[in-house]
Amino acid sequence: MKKIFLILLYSFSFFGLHANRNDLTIIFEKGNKAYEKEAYTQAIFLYESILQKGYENAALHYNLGNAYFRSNNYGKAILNYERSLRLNPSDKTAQMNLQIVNAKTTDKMEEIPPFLVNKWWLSFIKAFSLNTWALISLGSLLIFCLVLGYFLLSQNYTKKRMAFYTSLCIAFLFIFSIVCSGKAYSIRFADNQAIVMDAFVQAKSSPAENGTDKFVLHEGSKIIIEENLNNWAKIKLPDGNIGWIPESSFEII
Amino acid sequence: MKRYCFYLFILLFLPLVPLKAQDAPILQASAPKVVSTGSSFQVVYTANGEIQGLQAPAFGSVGFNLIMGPNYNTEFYMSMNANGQLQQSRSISVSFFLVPTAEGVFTIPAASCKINGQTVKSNPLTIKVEKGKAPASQMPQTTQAPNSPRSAEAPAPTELNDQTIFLRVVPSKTKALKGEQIILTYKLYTQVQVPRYQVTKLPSNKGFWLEELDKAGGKAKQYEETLNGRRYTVGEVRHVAIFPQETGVLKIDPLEMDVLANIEVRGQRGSNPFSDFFDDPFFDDFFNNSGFRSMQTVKKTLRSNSILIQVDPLPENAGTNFTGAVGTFSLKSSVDKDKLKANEAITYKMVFSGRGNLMHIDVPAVHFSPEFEVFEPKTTLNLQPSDGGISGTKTFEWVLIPKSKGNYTIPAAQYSYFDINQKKYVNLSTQEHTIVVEKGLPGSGYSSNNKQKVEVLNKDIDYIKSHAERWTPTRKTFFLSFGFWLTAILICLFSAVAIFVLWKLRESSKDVLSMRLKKAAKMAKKRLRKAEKFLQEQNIDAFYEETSQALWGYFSDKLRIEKSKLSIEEIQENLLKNSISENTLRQTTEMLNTCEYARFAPGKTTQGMNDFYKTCIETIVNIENELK
Repeated sequence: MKKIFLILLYSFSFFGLHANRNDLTIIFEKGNKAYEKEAYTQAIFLYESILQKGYENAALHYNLGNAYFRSNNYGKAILNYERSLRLNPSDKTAQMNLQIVNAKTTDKMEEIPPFLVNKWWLSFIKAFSLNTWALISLGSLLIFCLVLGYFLLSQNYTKKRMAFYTSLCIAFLFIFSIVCSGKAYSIRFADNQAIVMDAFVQAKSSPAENGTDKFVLHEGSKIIIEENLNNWAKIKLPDGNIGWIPESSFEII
Repeated sequence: MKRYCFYLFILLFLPLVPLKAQDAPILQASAPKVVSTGSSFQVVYTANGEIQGLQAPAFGSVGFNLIMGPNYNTEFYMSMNANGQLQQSRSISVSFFLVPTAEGVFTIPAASCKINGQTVKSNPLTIKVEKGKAPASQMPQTTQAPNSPRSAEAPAPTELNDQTIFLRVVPSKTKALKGEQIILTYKLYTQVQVPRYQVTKLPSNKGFWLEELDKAGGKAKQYEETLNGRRYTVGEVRHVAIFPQETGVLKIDPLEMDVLANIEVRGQRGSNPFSDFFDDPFFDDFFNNSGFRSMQTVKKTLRSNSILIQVDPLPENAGTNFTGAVGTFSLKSSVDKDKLKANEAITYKMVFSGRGNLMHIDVPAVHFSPEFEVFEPKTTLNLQPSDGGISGTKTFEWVLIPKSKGNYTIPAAQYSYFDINQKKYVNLSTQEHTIVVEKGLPGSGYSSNNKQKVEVLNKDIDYIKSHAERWTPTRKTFFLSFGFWLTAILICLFSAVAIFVLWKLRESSKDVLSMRLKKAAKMAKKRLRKAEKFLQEQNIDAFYEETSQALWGYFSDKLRIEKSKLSIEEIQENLLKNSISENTLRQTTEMLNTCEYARFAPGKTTQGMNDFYKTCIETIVNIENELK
């Protein structure tokens, strides 16, 4: 019984019932003040302290990215812009800032453009945040139930037929929004994308120090991790090159 | 014979020589100040005119043995003056080769001669003689014939060694500031004829910027020089200007050079048939001295000495716009026109001129108006190498296109350099230029549209967000969380319950309705039981009579009105008060009217009777249902 109560409390924590949220906002605003005064190291410290408390939001990652950019730490800046976009994929300012930092990094990655349909699909998913998608799913479920009830209880034949088709449409909308939420969820929590943090790292042909050097990656490059083995990660570049780099040299978005 | 040829040579050239008869005739005696016993040295009397009747001092009486001389020598100098005219000058010298006989300090008295008819006396010479090692190689080539033409220049060597031919590098200074120009002169000292030479290895110029000063195909400057008591023909084979780029002691590596030298080979018996006959020291000398000597070309590799140069850093107080230019420079700026129409091009020029490391002058920062389309400046470097070093001009040319009309100013640009003469940083500044731009013709120039896009001057990141959004625990989300599932299940559950309850409620209300209908129908049938009996008997009159009685009785009971007071209008009024539906009201009125009419009207059918009975039942059921 106590367990169920705890689970309930935990589940409702998503609706902002925690008392320390105001404290977080105060720290956040302190960080903004420090940023205004160009005390970027202090701003970074304050923003990071919020993350250490276990809370985040898109604006926090965005501001942290800005502070890192101003202290010329481009790897961390890219990481935080990417994280900000994970939380709020349609944020135009974060997208633009990310583009500007990417232009400053050494490695120019030629990403293979995805199929047009796929691109549309992804940009459609990214038009809403994951929370919005979840709310759309629940909302459509609720409307579906209402329309279904009307269909079941109505005695007028025409109204019954209308309600039937409407409920079909809404059922479709519900399934579609669940699929979109699932996709958005997999994008949001994809743990195979990482940003190189070291100034440069040599990718080896095998997960060992004495492996042959295959290519050199520089700070801020986005990589895809395929496999992990003994503190080494097998990475794939957008152009298809594969190599092993130590796990300490990058951070997962 | 050969000597006469030599004099003839001089005579031929005499008219060309501008006679310096007006100049005071001078007879200059020169000799090394310190010599060592056993080694020969040279005493040279140089005059600026024809020497006639030289009375040499008695060398023997002052402690020297005359071993050769007098040797006459005339040198012509060709040089270019500042106006570009060729100038000729000459000097005539008479030399004696002497060997000291004892150690000590000796004075050679003055010699006298007639120059251009005037009697001139030279200066006396004081020479200190030290005990010397007197190595054999330093012995003069006394075997040489005195009447050989070569003997007039130097003792002709028969072998190549480090004394007869060598390469030296002479820097213009050994202490310099970073970026300061130093001129290196590579001198080839030779006592033999060198028909060809070739540089085989250039020194690495680590820490230096190197600029060749010799023009391609130019001829090496030649002159004679006496060094350590020996006369050499000196060829300045290479000039370079170097600009130190680092501070500290920098080493200039040696230059390697291959030379082809003609040397005289004597006593080559195989090649000289006379030698076989006169195989005797006397004849040997005779033939050799009489010119029976063969020339041989020998290749030798020479290395110059390496030198060290102390490079000091420039003073600390350099301005922000100092980029490393050292020397003496001036700066000028110009525009090709100061009035033009929009979208026409204008050229802005900046010229640096002077001496020093012009190649290290960078493009000065000029802040043009953003209304100008500015193209990358064209850089022209014009270096004029000369023996004095690198000088020349460096020009930067900008093409500017004003996009709209107005008065614009090209501000003065600043450039600072280190002045090597004043030993301090000097700030150069261009002048300001004012440009009047008139409205351009539509369609002219590179842009016909006056509307402009807002130009992005600099790309920078957007500012931070001040609004704190909702805080969520890291790496947690609502979707698929317990709350999400709970909400979904609750929606489904509540909907199901609500639908079930509503359905059940409606079902029960449906039952009540049918019960009442059944009751009403039962009651109506009871009232019309007698009428039904007459209907079955086909007793039409009795049926209508009975039906009328039953209906009036029903309404009387139902509306609680006395039978005597009852009329159709009264019934209608009362039913309306009880909010009966219009349909039922109409049905009731029709039923009552039909009943009254049928009682008295003829031509009634059994069919009509049956229908009327059904109508009555239905109407009563409706009234029962609606009145409650």
